[in-house]
Parts: sequence; C-alpha cells; structure tokens
Amino acid sequence: MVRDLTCGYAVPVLEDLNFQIEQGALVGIIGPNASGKTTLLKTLCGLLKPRSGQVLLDGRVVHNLKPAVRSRRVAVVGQGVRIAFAFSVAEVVMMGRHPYIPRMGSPSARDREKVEWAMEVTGILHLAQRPVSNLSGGEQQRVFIARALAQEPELLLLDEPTSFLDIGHQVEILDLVKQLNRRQQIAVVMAIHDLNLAAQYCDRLLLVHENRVFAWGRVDEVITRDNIRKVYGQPILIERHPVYRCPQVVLLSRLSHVSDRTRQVHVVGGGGMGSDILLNLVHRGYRVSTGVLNRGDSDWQTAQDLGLEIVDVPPFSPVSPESCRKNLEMMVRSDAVILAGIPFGPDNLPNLQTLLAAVEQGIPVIVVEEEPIEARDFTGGAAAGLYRKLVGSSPAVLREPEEIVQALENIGKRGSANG
Amino acid sequence: MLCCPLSTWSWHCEVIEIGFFKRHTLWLLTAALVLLVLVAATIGSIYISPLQVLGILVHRLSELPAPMVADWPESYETIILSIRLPRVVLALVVGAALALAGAIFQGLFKNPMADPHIIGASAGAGLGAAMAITMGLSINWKGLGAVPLLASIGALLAVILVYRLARSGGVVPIPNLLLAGLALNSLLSALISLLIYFGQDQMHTIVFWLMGGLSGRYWNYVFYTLPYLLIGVGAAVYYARDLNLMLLGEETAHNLGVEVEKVKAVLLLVASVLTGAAVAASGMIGFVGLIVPHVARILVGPDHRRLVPVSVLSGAILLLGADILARTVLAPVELPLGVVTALFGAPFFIMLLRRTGGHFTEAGD
Repeated sequence: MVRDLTCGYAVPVLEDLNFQIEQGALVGIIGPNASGKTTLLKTLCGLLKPRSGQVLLDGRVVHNLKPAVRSRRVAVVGQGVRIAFAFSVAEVVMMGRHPYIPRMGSPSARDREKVEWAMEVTGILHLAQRPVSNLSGGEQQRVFIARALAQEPELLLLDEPTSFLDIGHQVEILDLVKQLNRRQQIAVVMAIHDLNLAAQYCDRLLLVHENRVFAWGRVDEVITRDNIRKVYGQPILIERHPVYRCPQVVLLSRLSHVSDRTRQVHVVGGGGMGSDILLNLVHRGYRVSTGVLNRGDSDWQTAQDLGLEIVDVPPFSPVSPESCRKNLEMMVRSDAVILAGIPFGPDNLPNLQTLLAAVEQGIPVIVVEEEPIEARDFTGGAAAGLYRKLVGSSPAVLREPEEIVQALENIGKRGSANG
Repeated sequence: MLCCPLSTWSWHCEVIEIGFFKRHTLWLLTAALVLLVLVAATIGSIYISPLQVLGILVHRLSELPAPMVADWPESYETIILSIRLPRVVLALVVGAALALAGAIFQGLFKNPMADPHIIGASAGAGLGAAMAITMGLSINWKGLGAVPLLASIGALLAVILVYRLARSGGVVPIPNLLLAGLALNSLLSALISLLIYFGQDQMHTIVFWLMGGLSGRYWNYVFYTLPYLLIGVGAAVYYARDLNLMLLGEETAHNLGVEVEKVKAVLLLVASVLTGAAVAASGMIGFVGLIVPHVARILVGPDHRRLVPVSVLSGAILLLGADILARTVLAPVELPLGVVTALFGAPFFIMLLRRTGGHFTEAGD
C-alpha cells in the first residue's frame, strides 16, 4: 500500500501517489520513458528513501524494515542486468537464500530444496551447473527470476522484464510471471513499456505521467484512446484482442493524409457494414461520427472502441424521431456523409429520410453500393424509392468501400475550388 | 576463521563438478608455502640446508626435543630465527595483505584493474608514511606504529578520492578508474618528491624505502603488520558472501538483504588499512594486488568465500618467491623487491588490459 508517496532523488520524480496492491495481484506500471517507473519500483523495494509519504507492507514501513527481513518479503528483478562473472546458475540462485542463511553459516537442506524448486519452476534446472555469463538474455532473465523466487517473497518487483528480448522470449517470461503470480499467490508489480503486453498480462495498471498517477485501475479503464493519446502524444486506435478480449493499442502514423477542407465525416452504417469504413476513416485522421445505430450492434461496438460520437437507440428498437433529429444535426455539421451498403428494414428506414434531408441542406452524401438496393430492401419497395432519389443527388456512388477516401478528397477539392 | 569457507566449499563441490585441484587448492597452496619458506631460509651468505632449517624451526618453535640431532652450530639458529625468518614471514604477511587488498578493491569496484598500486592507495600510503618518517616518527618501539597508521590514513583518503572521481552512475568504469588513479598517482608522487626535497636528512631513508624491499626488516615489522592482516582476513571472510552479492551490483545486493553502504565502508577501510600496513612495512610494491586475485579467480572462480583464502595464500607465496628472486638473481647484489614485482606485473597488466577490455568474464572459465 502506498500512502501520499513522493519519490525521487534531489528533485521529486513522482508526487502524491496513493494506491493499494492486493495480495496476489498482478500490477503493471506503464508510462513514457523517464516518467519515473523505475524510480517508483526502487522506492517500493526500499532502495530509495521516499521524499515524503510511506510505502507500507502489511502496515509496516518498508524502508524501516531490517534488510534481511525486507528481502525475505520483497524480491526484485532489475532491468537489463547481465552477469559477467563465472558464477554458476545454482550459485546465483542460492544468492536468493542470502537473507535466510546465517552469517558464517552454510546453506541448510531447506535452502538447497528451495533453490532446486526455484530452478525447476523457472525451467532452468538443466542449466544449474552452467556459468551464468554464458547464457542467453532470456535464460539469464529466468535465472534472476529463480533467484527472486528463492527469496520466497510475497511481493515480486520486475523492472522491464521483457526489454532486450525477442517476442518469443517476451511471452515466455511473462507467461512464467503470470503462472507464478497465480500458482504461488505472489503479488507482482512490473514496470513494462509495451502497452499491449501490459494489457494482456496485468490485472491492474498504473499509468504515470508528468510526476503523478495519470490513471490507476482495471486494464479497460486505463488503456483508453484518450489516456494513451494524452500521455504519449501519439494517435492510436484501441482494438480488442481477438482471443483474450483485452484492449490492444494500434499505432497510427502522425503524417496526416487529410486535405484541409474535408475533416468531419458522418457514417450511416449498421450490422457490421460500417466498421471497416469507420476504422479506415479514423485511421486517416478524419473526425468521424455515426448513427443512428442500435446499442450493441457491431458497428456500434467499433465506434465505441474508437471513441466516436454516436447517435444510438436501444437494442432492437426502431430509429426514433428524436434520434433522427440528432442524426441530422450531426450530418449538417459534417463535410460529407457516407452511406454504407446496409440492408434496410422498417426500423432503420428513417435513416434514409434523414439522409435526404441532409442532401437538401447541401451536404454531399457518398453512397457505397456493393449490392443493388433491391437485394437489400426489406420494406416492400419504400426503401428502394428513397434510395434511388438519394443516388440521383449523390456526388459519388461507389462499388468498393476502398474508394471512399479518394471520393472524399475529390469533394474536398471541389469545395475549396467553389469556396 | 576458515571453517566457514571450507564448509560452504564442500557444498559448492557437490553442486558444481570441480576437479581435484580446485577441491584441494587450499592444501596444495599451504604445502607450496611451507616448501617455499624452507627454501627461502636456506638462501644467504651462509648456506643452511632445508633439513637443518626445518630442524631449527621444529626445535625452537615447539620447545620439543628436536626430532633429529642438532648438527648445526648455535649461530645458525640466530641467523635463521633472528635474521632470515622475520624477513620471510614479513614477505608472507605483506604479500597476503596486498593480495587481499587487491581482491577486496576488485570486488567492491566490480573492476578487475583495481589494485592498491594502480588506484593510488599505495601512493597515498607512501605519502602518509613519508610524512611520518620526515616528522621523525620512524618504525621503532618508541614511535609504535606511527608509520603504518599514517600510511593507512593516506591510503584511505586516496581510495575515497579515487572512488568519488571515478564513479559514474553507480559503477566504476575501467577508464575512469585508471585515469583517476593516474591523476592521483601523479599528484601524490609530486608531493612525495616535495617531502624528499625538503626533508634532506631522511632523503636516503625515504628513497630507499620507496623502492620497496624487505632487507633489514626484523620481527618488530612483523608485529606491526600482522595484526592488520589478521583483521583484514577476518573482515574479508566475514563479508565474503556480501562481497559476492555486490559483484551483481549494489542494487541487487541491497535487494538481497546486504547492508550495502555499511559493507562498502567497512571493506574500503579494511583494504586501505591493509595497503597502509603493507606499504609501511616494505615500501611501494606494485602489482601483487592485481595479479594474485586474477590468478585466484582462474583457479577457484569468483566466489569470495574461496577467493579470499586462496588470494591470501597465493599473495604470500608470490611475494616470498619474488623476494627470493630479488636476493638471488644478481647475488650478492640485492634487487629492490618493488622492481622485481613491477618487471613481472607490468606486462601482466598490459596483457590483461588488451585481453579482457576490462571485464571479469574470462576469469574462472
């Protein structure tokens, strides 16, 4: 538990930290380079004295614990440590028993047992007699984790355990950490700069930025488009991991492809037909809104993940006059509106009427027509009639969604030529 | 004192398959030491055979009836016990002290180039001792240990200064250490020269003593120096495990429960005092503290529980061997001992610098 903690060296690096780590939790500390992740870890393990406030371990101030007592409870695996000495793996892991072996004494049977267990759990038993200096980075990292385990800690602190490792070893090390966390009930706090790995492996995240805690909570609460964009100053998208459903950060280029005139685009989609269009437009840097959608619809989900402005109605209910009014407002604010190749039924028919109203106000409507309207009309002809009228006044009818950006560029050019 | 390293030793032997030599290093070195002592005591203007030396030693030291007929003249006993033996024992003590100081400095600085001579500790001790000599506080019964005391203080100040100068980001990189040592050595030797220049009366004493040597040293020198060595060995054995952990970095050591600042302070003090005592007894003898821990690391690996006793024994053997050379190569002319160690040590130093680029990696493999 951290109370009113301010840590740092001559100047404070992090101020007014307050958070609590439950037994058996797996917490990630994320934040840009030099945001104080390592400083925080060093303060948590009692290496750095807090400038003010306290780090408490079961109500006891960590910094005041006797070294031997402290190192039986808190273990640390440092960042990028490489051993250049000819100590054997078994010797290095036995060093983790230092707080248990009396001075001038020799290792007991229990010490040897624990060392063997730690090597077995981390899968390095077969390396026991090899000199550590000859091992690869991933193997050395395992040795350090084994040494930390030999300390039998309640709290394991890791500083960038995956830096300098390739992806295979990254996953291997983090799987190991997660396994130890779950099976041995060891609380883990790790500084990690890879946001996707942090999201995939941690239960809770602490996002530090500009000397303070920017966000602290469940992964979903911390890895949001706004948080990451504000802290890292980098345009991103948040997607869902297809298997684990945790948020994953997708990076966007900072080079904008957007012409100056066409910025705000409204998309009328539904049933997943609009998702690719939304992603593509957001990726290109357009400001995108969408509607009217039913809550829970897959396009609605995509827009939600992307943090877009949405006009929505409850699931399985028809588009209401109120939502139509809002939708029209959004269309009128936009530089262009896009109609995805969606099917029409009685519930979403009002969207077509709203589109025609927007056209009357002089808003260009781009129509994507992958299939003829007849195949998509489930209103008995009403939709087809309105649709043909819309197509008649549209500046562009596209067969492929990929052509949208080009069409928007053209509208932008025409706009600037006229205005 | 040695029970701890030996008992942990056996565990290492179980876990790590090591050969006969590594397993019995201590006994082999002790045997070599005894043999070398017997050989050293035969050398001099009168030849006294090793058997006679052994007889005299056993006869006199154990107060038992001699195991063999005392077929030597009375004067031989005086020569061995009052003239040759103190010199031999002093060589052992000084060699052990310098080697141990080197091992401690190398461990603390995590730097294989750390040696009392190179980092300026010897020069600091030299300045302190030279000051004591010019002030008339020579090593005799009246000036009881003033020279070793001032020498130790000088060594400690020099070490603290070099450490402060060379440290960057929690480590002591080799180039920094060598440059800081170079700068400090230049400064200190200038100050020593200044002392010699103004202390005309003692000029001969200081210059002769600075060259390093053991001639004309009797039991009183041994009595001044031996306690420092015993304290040093005790502290190094006591903190051997902490020193191992410090090799992994001060932060790691801290996280494993080592009281880093305390251990560092104690061991820096101990190594400085060892240097001071050695320099006070025998002048400036370089490179023992560099060579011995290296060879010891190759013999028994980096674990200080083995490294410390092996370094102490090897240092004693090396310096006694060097003293035998100094006395015999150009006999009856005696070479300064510091010159002999430098002739062997400097090439070793250069080789080390070229080969390792300054890492511990190659030792012990």
